[in-house]
Amino acid sequence: MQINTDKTEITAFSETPALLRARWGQYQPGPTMTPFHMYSPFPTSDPHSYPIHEVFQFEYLGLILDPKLTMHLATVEAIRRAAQGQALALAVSYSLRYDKNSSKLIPTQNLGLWKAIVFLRFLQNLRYIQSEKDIKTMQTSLDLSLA
Amino acid sequence: MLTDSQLGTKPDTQTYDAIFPLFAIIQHKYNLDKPTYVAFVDYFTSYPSVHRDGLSSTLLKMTSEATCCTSSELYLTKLSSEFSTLAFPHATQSTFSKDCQEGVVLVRHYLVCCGSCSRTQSQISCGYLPWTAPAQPTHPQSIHYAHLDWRAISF
Repeated sequence: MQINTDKTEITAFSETPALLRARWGQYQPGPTMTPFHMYSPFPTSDPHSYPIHEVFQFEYLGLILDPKLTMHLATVEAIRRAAQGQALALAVSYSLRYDKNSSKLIPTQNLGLWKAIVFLRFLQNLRYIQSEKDIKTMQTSLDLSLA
Repeated sequence: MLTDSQLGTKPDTQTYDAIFPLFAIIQHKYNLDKPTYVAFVDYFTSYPSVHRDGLSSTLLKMTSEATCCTSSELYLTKLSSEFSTLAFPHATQSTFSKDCQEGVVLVRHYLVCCGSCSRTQSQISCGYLPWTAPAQPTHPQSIHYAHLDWRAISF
Protein backbone atom coordinates (compact mmCIF):
# COMPACT_ATOMS: atom_id res chain seq x y z
CA MET A 1 0.00 0.00 0.00
CA GLN A 2 1.28 3.41 -0.94
CA ILE A 3 0.40 6.58 0.92
CA ASN A 4 -1.17 9.27 -1.17
CA THR A 5 0.70 12.36 0.02
CA ASP A 6 -1.50 14.72 -1.99
CA LYS A 7 -4.61 13.78 -0.06
CA THR A 8 -3.06 13.11 3.33
CA GLU A 9 -3.94 15.88 5.76
CA ILE A 10 -3.21 16.77 9.34
CA THR A 11 -5.15 18.72 11.93
CA ALA A 12 -3.93 20.08 15.24
CA PHE A 13 -6.57 19.85 17.95
CA SER A 14 -6.64 22.06 21.05
CA GLU A 15 -3.33 23.69 20.26
CA THR A 16 -2.44 26.83 22.18
CA PRO A 17 -1.29 29.95 20.27
CA ALA A 18 2.16 29.64 21.90
CA LEU A 19 2.55 26.12 20.55
CA LEU A 20 1.34 27.22 17.16
CA ARG A 21 3.96 29.97 17.04
CA ALA A 22 6.66 27.56 18.15
CA ARG A 23 5.65 25.11 15.48
CA TRP A 24 6.29 27.74 12.84
CA GLY A 25 9.35 29.03 14.70
CA GLN A 26 11.87 27.00 16.63
CA TYR A 27 10.32 23.64 15.77
CA GLN A 28 10.14 24.34 12.06
CA PRO A 29 12.32 21.81 10.21
CA GLY A 30 13.59 24.41 7.75
CA PRO A 31 13.13 28.07 6.92
CA THR A 32 11.00 27.28 3.90
CA MET A 33 9.57 23.98 5.07
CA THR A 34 6.14 23.45 6.51
CA PRO A 35 6.02 21.92 10.00
CA PHE A 36 4.61 18.53 9.01
CA HIS A 37 6.44 16.24 6.65
CA MET A 38 6.32 12.66 5.61
CA TYR A 39 9.70 11.09 5.03
CA SER A 40 10.30 8.31 2.59
CA PRO A 41 12.00 5.22 4.08
CA PHE A 42 14.15 4.85 0.96
CA PRO A 43 17.09 7.27 0.92
CA THR A 44 17.39 7.17 -2.85
CA SER A 45 13.81 8.28 -3.47
CA ASP A 46 13.39 11.78 -4.81
CA PRO A 47 11.94 13.84 -3.25
CA HIS A 48 12.92 12.43 0.11
CA SER A 49 10.18 14.18 2.07
CA TYR A 50 6.64 15.21 1.27
CA PRO A 51 4.82 18.06 2.98
CA ILE A 52 1.53 17.25 4.68
CA HIS A 53 -1.20 19.81 4.27
CA GLU A 54 -2.59 21.21 7.47
CA VAL A 55 -6.34 21.76 7.41
CA PHE A 56 -8.61 23.45 9.91
CA GLN A 57 -11.57 21.19 9.40
CA PHE A 58 -11.81 17.59 8.41
CA GLU A 59 -14.71 15.32 7.62
CA TYR A 60 -14.26 11.95 9.28
CA LEU A 61 -17.00 9.38 8.67
CA GLY A 62 -19.45 12.14 7.91
CA LEU A 63 -18.65 14.22 10.99
CA ILE A 64 -16.84 17.52 10.47
CA LEU A 65 -14.15 18.02 13.09
CA ASP A 66 -12.73 21.45 13.84
CA PRO A 67 -9.52 22.19 15.80
CA LYS A 68 -11.31 23.39 18.93
CA LEU A 69 -14.00 20.71 18.80
CA THR A 70 -16.79 23.26 18.98
CA MET A 71 -18.72 21.03 16.54
CA HIS A 72 -20.43 24.07 15.12
CA LEU A 73 -19.54 23.03 11.58
CA ALA A 74 -20.92 19.56 12.24
CA THR A 75 -24.22 21.12 13.36
CA VAL A 76 -24.46 23.26 10.25
CA GLU A 77 -23.69 20.26 8.06
CA ALA A 78 -26.27 18.08 9.84
CA ILE A 79 -28.95 20.74 9.35
CA ARG A 80 -27.99 21.11 5.69
CA ARG A 81 -28.24 17.38 5.09
CA ALA A 82 -31.53 17.20 6.95
CA ALA A 83 -32.91 20.01 4.78
CA GLN A 84 -31.73 18.14 1.71
CA GLY A 85 -33.46 15.00 2.94
CA GLN A 86 -36.61 16.98 3.71
CA ALA A 87 -36.67 18.29 0.14
CA LEU A 88 -36.26 14.77 -1.16
CA ALA A 89 -39.09 13.45 1.03
CA LEU A 90 -41.37 16.26 -0.13
CA ALA A 91 -40.49 15.61 -3.77
CA VAL A 92 -41.25 11.90 -3.45
CA SER A 93 -44.52 12.58 -1.65
CA TYR A 94 -45.54 15.20 -4.21
CA SER A 95 -44.74 13.05 -7.22
CA LEU A 96 -46.63 10.08 -5.79
CA ARG A 97 -49.64 12.23 -4.97
CA TYR A 98 -50.06 13.33 -8.60
CA ASP A 99 -48.98 10.10 -10.24
CA LYS A 100 -52.06 8.42 -11.67
CA ASN A 101 -50.39 5.03 -11.82
CA SER A 102 -49.61 4.82 -8.11
CA SER A 103 -51.40 5.58 -4.90
CA LYS A 104 -50.31 8.46 -2.71
CA LEU A 105 -48.47 7.89 0.52
CA ILE A 106 -50.51 7.44 3.66
CA PRO A 107 -49.40 9.52 6.71
CA THR A 108 -47.63 6.54 8.29
CA GLN A 109 -45.59 6.01 5.17
CA ASN A 110 -44.77 9.72 5.03
CA LEU A 111 -43.57 9.56 8.61
CA GLY A 112 -41.46 6.51 7.85
CA LEU A 113 -39.88 8.31 4.92
CA TRP A 114 -39.15 11.32 7.11
CA LYS A 115 -37.59 9.14 9.77
CA ALA A 116 -35.41 7.40 7.22
CA ILE A 117 -33.90 10.41 5.49
CA VAL A 118 -34.44 13.41 7.78
CA PHE A 119 -34.63 12.32 11.40
CA LEU A 120 -31.55 10.16 10.94
CA ARG A 121 -29.46 13.23 10.11
CA PHE A 122 -30.32 14.89 13.40
CA LEU A 123 -29.63 11.84 15.53
CA GLN A 124 -26.54 10.50 13.81
CA ASN A 125 -23.92 12.69 15.48
CA LEU A 126 -26.02 14.26 18.19
CA ARG A 127 -23.88 12.81 20.96
CA TYR A 128 -20.90 14.85 19.82
CA ILE A 129 -22.66 18.22 19.84
CA GLN A 130 -21.60 20.08 22.96
CA SER A 131 -22.96 23.60 22.65
CA GLU A 132 -26.49 24.17 23.91
CA LYS A 133 -26.98 26.80 21.26
CA ASP A 134 -26.23 24.28 18.52
CA ILE A 135 -28.61 21.77 20.06
CA LYS A 136 -31.36 24.36 20.18
CA THR A 137 -30.70 25.20 16.54
CA MET A 138 -31.01 21.54 15.64
CA GLN A 139 -34.21 21.24 17.68
CA THR A 140 -35.69 24.19 15.81
CA SER A 141 -34.81 22.68 12.45
CA LEU A 142 -36.28 19.37 13.56
CA ASP A 143 -39.54 21.04 14.55
CA LEU A 144 -39.69 22.91 11.27
CA SER A 145 -39.18 19.75 9.28
CA LEU A 146 -42.23 18.24 10.95
CA ALA A 147 -44.39 21.29 10.43
CA MET B 1 -11.07 -13.57 11.87
CA LEU B 2 -12.57 -10.32 13.10
CA THR B 3 -10.70 -8.55 15.87
CA ASP B 4 -12.24 -6.42 18.59
CA SER B 5 -11.09 -3.34 16.71
CA GLN B 6 -13.22 -4.28 13.73
CA LEU B 7 -16.22 -1.98 13.53
CA GLY B 8 -19.02 -2.82 11.17
CA THR B 9 -19.82 -6.23 9.68
CA LYS B 10 -20.32 -7.43 13.27
CA PRO B 11 -23.48 -7.40 15.37
CA ASP B 12 -24.02 -4.35 17.58
CA THR B 13 -21.27 -2.38 15.87
CA GLN B 14 -21.21 0.25 13.18
CA THR B 15 -18.45 2.07 11.37
CA TYR B 16 -19.56 5.35 12.90
CA ASP B 17 -18.39 4.07 16.28
CA ALA B 18 -14.83 4.84 15.20
CA ILE B 19 -15.55 8.53 15.74
CA PHE B 20 -15.94 8.10 19.47
CA PRO B 21 -12.39 6.87 20.32
CA LEU B 22 -10.88 9.71 18.34
CA PHE B 23 -13.17 12.20 20.03
CA ALA B 24 -12.41 10.79 23.49
CA ILE B 25 -8.63 10.89 22.93
CA ILE B 26 -8.75 14.52 21.82
CA GLN B 27 -10.89 15.50 24.80
CA HIS B 28 -8.66 13.60 27.21
CA LYS B 29 -5.58 15.39 25.91
CA TYR B 30 -7.43 18.67 26.09
CA ASN B 31 -8.12 18.07 29.77
CA LEU B 32 -4.37 17.57 30.25
CA ASP B 33 -3.66 20.85 28.41
CA LYS B 34 -1.91 19.02 25.63
CA PRO B 35 -2.53 19.27 21.90
CA THR B 36 -3.41 16.35 19.67
CA TYR B 37 -2.11 16.09 16.13
CA VAL B 38 -4.20 13.83 13.97
CA ALA B 39 -3.06 12.80 10.51
CA PHE B 40 -5.67 11.50 8.15
CA VAL B 41 -3.68 9.19 5.91
CA ASP B 42 -4.97 8.44 2.45
CA TYR B 43 -3.84 5.36 0.55
CA PHE B 44 -3.44 5.05 -3.19
CA THR B 45 -4.61 1.50 -3.33
CA SER B 46 -8.07 1.85 -1.90
CA TYR B 47 -10.31 3.66 -4.35
CA PRO B 48 -8.31 5.15 -7.25
CA SER B 49 -6.45 1.96 -8.06
CA VAL B 50 -9.58 -0.01 -8.96
CA HIS B 51 -10.18 -0.08 -12.69
CA ARG B 52 -13.84 0.86 -12.51
CA ASP B 53 -14.42 1.22 -16.22
CA GLY B 54 -13.18 -2.30 -16.74
CA LEU B 55 -15.34 -3.59 -13.91
CA SER B 56 -18.39 -1.84 -15.33
CA SER B 57 -17.88 -3.28 -18.79
CA THR B 58 -17.31 -6.74 -17.34
CA LEU B 59 -20.43 -6.45 -15.21
CA LEU B 60 -22.44 -5.23 -18.18
CA LYS B 61 -21.22 -8.14 -20.26
CA MET B 62 -21.99 -10.63 -17.50
CA THR B 63 -25.44 -9.13 -16.99
CA SER B 64 -26.32 -9.40 -20.65
CA GLU B 65 -25.23 -13.03 -20.69
CA ALA B 66 -26.82 -13.85 -17.36
CA THR B 67 -30.23 -12.82 -18.59
CA CYS B 68 -30.18 -15.88 -20.81
CA CYS B 69 -29.08 -18.08 -17.96
CA THR B 70 -31.83 -17.54 -15.44
CA SER B 71 -34.47 -19.80 -16.92
CA SER B 72 -32.38 -22.95 -16.83
CA GLU B 73 -30.86 -22.86 -13.38
CA LEU B 74 -32.12 -26.31 -12.50
CA TYR B 75 -30.69 -27.74 -15.63
CA LEU B 76 -27.38 -26.05 -15.01
CA THR B 77 -27.25 -27.42 -11.48
CA LYS B 78 -27.65 -30.87 -12.89
CA LEU B 79 -25.13 -30.02 -15.54
CA SER B 80 -22.56 -28.83 -13.05
CA SER B 81 -22.73 -32.05 -11.05
CA GLU B 82 -21.83 -34.03 -14.13
CA PHE B 83 -19.32 -31.70 -15.54
CA SER B 84 -16.33 -33.45 -14.05
CA THR B 85 -16.40 -35.88 -16.93
CA LEU B 86 -17.03 -33.11 -19.42
CA ALA B 87 -19.65 -35.22 -21.09
CA PHE B 88 -23.43 -35.42 -21.29
CA PRO B 89 -24.02 -38.85 -22.73
CA HIS B 90 -27.63 -38.98 -21.56
CA ALA B 91 -28.56 -35.71 -23.28
CA THR B 92 -29.66 -36.04 -26.81
CA GLN B 93 -28.78 -33.47 -29.38
CA SER B 94 -32.22 -31.87 -29.39
CA THR B 95 -32.71 -31.48 -25.64
CA PHE B 96 -29.24 -30.22 -25.01
CA SER B 97 -29.12 -27.79 -27.87
CA LYS B 98 -32.32 -26.18 -26.62
CA ASP B 99 -30.75 -25.31 -23.29
CA CYS B 100 -27.20 -25.02 -24.44
CA GLN B 101 -27.47 -21.40 -25.43
CA GLU B 102 -28.76 -20.60 -21.97
CA GLY B 103 -26.13 -22.68 -20.27
CA VAL B 104 -23.13 -21.33 -22.05
CA VAL B 105 -22.29 -18.91 -19.27
CA LEU B 106 -22.12 -21.50 -16.55
CA VAL B 107 -20.48 -24.05 -18.78
CA ARG B 108 -17.81 -21.55 -19.54
CA HIS B 109 -17.35 -20.92 -15.85
CA TYR B 110 -16.91 -24.59 -15.07
CA LEU B 111 -14.58 -24.99 -17.99
CA VAL B 112 -12.20 -22.57 -16.40
CA CYS B 113 -12.28 -24.53 -13.16
CA CYS B 114 -11.82 -27.92 -14.76
CA GLY B 115 -8.17 -28.83 -15.07
CA SER B 116 -8.58 -31.87 -17.29
CA CYS B 117 -10.63 -30.04 -19.84
CA SER B 118 -9.30 -30.23 -23.36
CA ARG B 119 -11.67 -27.71 -24.95
CA THR B 120 -11.00 -24.05 -24.92
CA GLN B 121 -13.37 -21.39 -23.70
CA SER B 122 -13.97 -20.02 -27.19
CA GLN B 123 -14.90 -23.43 -28.54
CA ILE B 124 -17.59 -24.17 -25.98
CA SER B 125 -19.11 -20.73 -26.12
CA CYS B 126 -20.00 -21.24 -29.78
CA GLY B 127 -22.64 -23.81 -28.92
CA TYR B 128 -22.96 -27.52 -28.38
CA LEU B 129 -19.88 -29.57 -29.02
CA PRO B 130 -20.30 -33.35 -28.95
CA TRP B 131 -18.23 -35.10 -26.35
CA THR B 132 -15.19 -36.96 -27.55
CA ALA B 133 -12.96 -39.23 -25.55
CA PRO B 134 -9.61 -37.78 -24.53
CA ALA B 135 -6.83 -38.63 -26.89
CA GLN B 136 -5.00 -41.85 -26.15
CA PRO B 137 -1.20 -41.95 -26.03
CA THR B 138 0.28 -42.65 -29.41
CA HIS B 139 3.35 -44.48 -28.18
CA PRO B 140 3.26 -48.23 -27.67
CA GLN B 141 1.53 -49.47 -24.54
CA SER B 142 4.63 -51.21 -23.24
CA ILE B 143 6.52 -47.93 -23.22
CA HIS B 144 3.53 -46.11 -21.78
CA TYR B 145 3.38 -48.33 -18.72
CA ALA B 146 7.11 -48.88 -18.41
CA HIS B 147 7.58 -46.14 -15.87
CA LEU B 148 4.94 -47.70 -13.64
CA ASP B 149 6.59 -51.10 -13.46
CA TRP B 150 9.19 -50.80 -10.73
CA ARG B 151 10.29 -54.38 -11.34
CA ALA B 152 11.71 -53.28 -14.70
CA ILE B 153 14.17 -51.04 -12.94
CA SER B 154 17.52 -52.74 -12.45
CA PHE B 155 19.37 -51.99 -9.25
